Formats: sequence, structure tokens, C-alpha cells
Amino acid sequence: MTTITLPPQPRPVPLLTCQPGAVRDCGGDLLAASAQIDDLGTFVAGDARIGDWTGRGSERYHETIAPIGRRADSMSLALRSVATRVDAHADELQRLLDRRTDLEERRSHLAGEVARLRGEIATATEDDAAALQAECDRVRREVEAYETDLTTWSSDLAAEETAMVQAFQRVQEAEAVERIWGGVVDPADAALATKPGSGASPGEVSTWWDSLTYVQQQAIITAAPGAIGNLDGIPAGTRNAANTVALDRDLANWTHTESLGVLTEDERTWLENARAADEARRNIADRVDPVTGEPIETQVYLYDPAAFDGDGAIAISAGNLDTADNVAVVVPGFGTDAESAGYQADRAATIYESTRYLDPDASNATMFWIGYDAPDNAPWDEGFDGAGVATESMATAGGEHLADTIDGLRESRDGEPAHLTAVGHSYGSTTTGHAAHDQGMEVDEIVFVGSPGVGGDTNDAGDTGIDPEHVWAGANSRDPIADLGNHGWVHGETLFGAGLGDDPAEDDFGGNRFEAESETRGGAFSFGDHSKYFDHDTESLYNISQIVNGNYDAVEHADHVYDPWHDGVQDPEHDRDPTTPATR
Amino acid sequence: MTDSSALEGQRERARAAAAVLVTGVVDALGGSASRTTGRVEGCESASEDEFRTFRYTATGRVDVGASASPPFLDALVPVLEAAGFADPIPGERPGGNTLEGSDGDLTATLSELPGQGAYVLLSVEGPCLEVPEADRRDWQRRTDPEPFL
Amino acid sequence: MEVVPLSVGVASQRWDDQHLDLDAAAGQVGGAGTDGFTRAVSGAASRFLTQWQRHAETLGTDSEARADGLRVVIQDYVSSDEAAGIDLFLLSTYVTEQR
Repeated sequence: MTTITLPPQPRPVPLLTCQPGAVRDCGGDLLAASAQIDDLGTFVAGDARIGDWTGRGSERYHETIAPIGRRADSMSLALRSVATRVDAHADELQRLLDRRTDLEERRSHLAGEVARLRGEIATATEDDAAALQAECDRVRREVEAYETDLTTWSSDLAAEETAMVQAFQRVQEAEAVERIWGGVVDPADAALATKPGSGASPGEVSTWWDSLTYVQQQAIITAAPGAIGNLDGIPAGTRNAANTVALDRDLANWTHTESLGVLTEDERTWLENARAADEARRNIADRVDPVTGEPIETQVYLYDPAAFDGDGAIAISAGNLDTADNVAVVVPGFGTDAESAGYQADRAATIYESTRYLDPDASNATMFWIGYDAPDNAPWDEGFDGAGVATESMATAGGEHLADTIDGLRESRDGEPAHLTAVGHSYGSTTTGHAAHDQGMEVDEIVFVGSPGVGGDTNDAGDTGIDPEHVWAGANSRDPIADLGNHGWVHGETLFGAGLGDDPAEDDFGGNRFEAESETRGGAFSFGDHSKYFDHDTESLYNISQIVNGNYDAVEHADHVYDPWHDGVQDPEHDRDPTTPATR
Repeated sequence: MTDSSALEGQRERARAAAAVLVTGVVDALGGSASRTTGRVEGCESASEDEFRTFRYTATGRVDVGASASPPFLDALVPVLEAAGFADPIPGERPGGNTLEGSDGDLTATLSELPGQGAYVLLSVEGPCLEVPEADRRDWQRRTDPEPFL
Repeated sequence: MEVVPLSVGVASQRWDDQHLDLDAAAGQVGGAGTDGFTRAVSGAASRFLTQWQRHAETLGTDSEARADGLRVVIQDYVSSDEAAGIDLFLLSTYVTEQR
């Protein structure tokens, strides 16, 4: 009887209990703290010096503060280095977890193979022996390869753990910090000295950033997040890293000051805006990509809690702005400021979900952009008279900011340019119209929804500078704001005083109108219908998503509003039964 | 309008049902589950900064075992039925297929996207519920990071 | 006695701000979680965070000492017979710590 040698059982994969996300959060806390310590060094070298104070007292003071500055500089560099190492550790832990999952699957498969062979051998005849031994040898080789990979995995894990522990221990004591980092020049200093001045184009900024070394770039993110976090031309991933440092630092500072009861009025306003930004990024990160089931990537593209006299400026993306095939920038309107960020983030995430759901093969990013000073006097709060106070001045200024933002998004990307869509809602459509007409905003598609008018100088789709085939309008027939724009020969501003330009859903305008009725629309004009354009399973979200994805054939077109000389404004959509196309 | 307790109840039931389903999918197809979390989502907007109605959605992903062969949904009808989601209905979604069942006011959807990878996505959600106006901001801000499984 | 300009008072407030911010940073370091690390690393992480919380607090205390020191200078000056000028009233507002 021939003896057949079975392959050995594969060893089980050891457990790996860790949470890379929590490790990354720990690194983020350390990075934000290092930025704060860096600020002390900057303060000592700058504002702490009292130039108009002379005499012995002044000399003693300046002698005393100098060592504090040096200590702050070395400590910030030391803490930054550990924070960066912790972040890399989180990445490595995730890779080790992924490798462990693969190993576990291989072990399970091989264990099944060994069991199968054992069963076959038990019932085998002499004639089967040679073939079975060959099969056993094949599986043995697979088990040996698995064992080698398992050993490598275990030693990689041990090496990574040792390196992380050493990074913590290396600069644990103040003496070690001084010995290793004392007198070391911050790589951020020389790099910032070459930064282009204010007024530089996004292209010049991009060229400068690309000229820096990786070490210099990382140093600036921590040491001077405010210098690049909101700078057009800097890649979105970098802006996110810098703004995350700034946001985490601000939250820690102002929350601590609040707990002591000494928060100033300005700081209270800024803290509320910082909290809104925090809520917004969490709202997006808590949701999952409908194609992968993984959390949606979030990028804080703009964070300035003190902008616009305390209204604040925040723009956060669902999806990766640097790499997405399709990028949408959503411009909100009446009544929005930084405190609306949480809700606007939900909108951005909803559009992201819908675009991904409708085209799983395309990658997407959708950013809400509270980057201009929008009118506070919302019509639903103050009636049409209140809205009438709104003029185009804020849209004109906002349009300039928006066009700069679009330029920055274009300029900072490597590789293929994105298919870029600007979606202007409410007064945001007026702002978007100005960005296109006044500034030549370089987008592929313009979508106006719930528009009270797209600016006085934009008389038709061609005036946007975009091919009219790529100018789109969605208007719910019950939305009173969408009815504010100029129609035919009757100009709206003479009736309501709004004066925000033409209705882009009208036939004379010459753009594409898409279906945007809501199943829950009211019987007559209702402000509630002004806010439903981005809700799931609505005609408008479905069509906006198809436009963002460039799937023009899938867009459901609607007949235009028209205004015959012998009668009032007519909306053919008024009597059509709304549908609920799936967007999730 | 319902009070907020109805939405709390929906959350509890959706998470419990999703936990049963994820376990059943892993039992049927092997592999491992991940991202087993849920969240409150706004449904119908009320204005420029809040929603009028909300629902709870529990989601998860199962990367199927090496021995499972597509289409994976074929093996999951009994899993849905055993979890109380009777008479599951097959359907389509862009790039993939779905299997959907109802249990009372909860809807469970399993989906696979053959072009994307060997995994099954799962969601369990309830209907949109109106909450008192004073509670809207709280529901909007609520996070629920704890995995249900 | 040497003249103490108004800018000394402004600097004292800025040192107070640094003290507040560094205390916040210390809290941030101390509050950073170590649950995500493996057992082999979490102990070293905890020790590091505890130690660095103290480092940041020390910097904050040093900042507060600088603010207090400047306030003593202001106090001595406004109490002296030699102090004069329109800035005196404004300077005296910095004698008390605002926050």
C-alpha cells in the first residue's frame, strides 16, 4: 500500500485588535496641539516683542521670553514629528488589517483543501495514489507559501509596533526634546518665505506648492495651516489637512475658553461656526457610499469662521475633489451662512449618493460652498418685501469668489480635468450667473434651481459663456422663489422689487429645463417647495445627478415656462403628475 | 406628526433586523462583515437649514467568502425570509441587482454590483417620520457611530 | 523710572491668550484616545500623552507668568509719582487680568 503524505494544516492568523481610525484621530489631536505650540513660538518671535519699550525692564523681559520661544519651537517640531508618525502608523495598521483579511481567507481555503484531501485519501484506491500525492504536494506548496507570508506579516506587525513605541519614547522627556530638536530650523520657515504674495493666481500658487519638498509641505500644514487652508491653487487634500488642523485647534481653544466663562462675543460667534463645520464634516463621514458601502470621504476645502463679519465661510466636500471624475459645487442662497453648514453637508452627501448610485463606474465629489456673503433676509422669514431688499451686489461679489474657487479646483488637480458642474440654488443661482457672466467661470455645466433670476446682465443662456446645451434649469411649479425672475415682457422687479434677472426656466432664456416637481408639492405656491430640489427620490435630484455625471440622454426634460402677451405666466409643469425616480 | 419616540423605536428595530441579516448573509456566503453602522437621515426638507421628516437607515457590507459564487443574491432569499422579511422581490439597480423585502414598516434591501467586487451591501430602513419642530435640529445633529454588530 | 508704554499692557493680554490656548492644547493631548492602538503600543502611547500634557501645561504656566510679570511692571509704573500722560488711564486698565 502506497503512503500518501498530507499537507500540514495552515497555522491560524493571530488576532489583530486595533482601530486605525481612532489612531488617526489621536494623531490629529497631537497635530492640532503642535500647531498651538508652534503659535507660541511665532508669538514670541513677533507680537510678544515690545519695540517701543526701552530700559532695563524691557531688556529683562526680552531676555526672559527668548528661551520660551526656543522651547516652543523645539517642542512643536517634536510633537509634529510624533503626530506624523502616528498618522503613518494608522495607515500601516489598516494595511496590516487588510493583509490579515487576505491571510485569513487563504487559511480558510487551505484548511478546506486539507480536509478534502484527507477525505479523498480515506476512500482512495492504489490507482489514485499518484494523482492524490501530486495534489497533496501542490497544496503543501500553497501552505508553505501561506506560512511564509504569515511569518512576514507577523514580523512586519512587530516591526511597526516597535517603531511606533520608539517614536513615542524618543521625545517623551523635555531634555530629549531639546537635545534632538533644539535649534532645528522649521522647514516651514524657508518654504513660506517663497510663497507668492496676495493676488497671486491659482496657477502661481500651484507652481509654488509643487516646488516644495514633501517635508516642507507637511511642515506648513501644521505650522501655518491658515497660510494654505483657503488658498486657491492648493490641492484639496492638502487644504483639507491644513483646515482640519485649524478646525481641531479652534474647537479645542474656544471650547476651553468657554468652559472658563471668559469667551468674548466674537469668539462665541466663531466657536458656533467652528462647531457647524465640525457637524458638517461628521454628517458626511457618517454616511456610506452606495456603491462600496464604505464611509464617504470628506474634505474641508474652506474654513474661515470669522469671514464676512462673523457669518463665516465653510466649504466641505463629499468625495475627493482632487481625483473625482465628476465634481459638483453647490452654491446655496437666501438665509445661508456658516451655521447652515450641517444641513448643506447633508445636501452635498445626498447629491454624492445619488450621482454614485446612478453611475457606479464614475467617481464623484460634491462640495457645498458657503464661500460668499449671502443675503440674510430670506423671503420665507420676511415675505416678498424682505426678499425685495436683496440686490445683486452680494451675488456680484460672490460670483467673483466662486469663479476663483473653480479656477483653484481646476488648477490644483493633476491628470485628467474633472467634469465640473456649478449648481446654484435660490440666490445662489444669481451668484452662479454672475460668476459665469462676469468672471467667465470655467465649468462644463451650469445648473440653476429654484432661481429668482440669474443676474440682470444675463439675458439668455448664451450670456453665461457656456454652450446653451449645457445650461440647465429646474423649477418646481409651486416654488414662489422660482417665480420671482423676469418673464417675457413683464419684468419681475417692477412687481416685487427683487430685480435679480431673468428666469432660466423660461423659453426665451434658451437653456434646458428639466423636470423638478415634487410628489409632496402643495396645491399653490409654497416656500416648502423651494427647498426640496435636493431631497432623495425627487425628479430634480435625479436630473441634477444625471447632468453632473454627464449622462445627458437620461435627463428628463420639461417644457419651458412661457409668458404670452395676452395672458399671465404659464407653467406647463403645473398640471403634470410628479414622479419619484430612485436616487438611492 | 409623531413624537420622537417613534423614530427612536424605528432605530432600535432597524438595527436589530440588520444585525440578524448580516449574520445570516455571512452564514450563507462566508466571508466577513464590515461597516455595520446606522444613521438618522433627513427625508423632506422644510427650509434652507432643516428637514421636516427623518428616517433611520442601518447599513453593512459583507465581503463574501472565496468559495461563494455569484450571483450571491440567489442564496439570500432564505436569509431575508428567516429574518421576517417575507416574499423578497428581486430587482435591478444601476450596475447591479437587488433583493428587497418588507417586515411591517421596515424595508430590507440586499444588493450586489458584479462589476465592483465580490461583496453584498445591506440596508434596513423605516419610513420617513415627521418629528416635532423643536426636535428637528437634535435629530439632524445626531450621530450613531456605534456598530450594531 | 522708565516709561511703560501701552503696548506692554497689550502684550500682557496676548500672553494670557497664549496661556488659555496652551491649556486647551494640553487638554487636547491628555484627552487623545489610545484605544485604537494595539496592546503592544497603547502603554507607550498613554505615557507619552500624559507626559506631553504636562509639557504643554508648563508652557501655559510660563506664559501666564510672563503676563503676570508685565502686570507687575504696569502696576509699579502707574503707582509711581513719575507716571504721567494720557496713556496712564488706559494702561491702568491692564493691571487686572481680564481672563
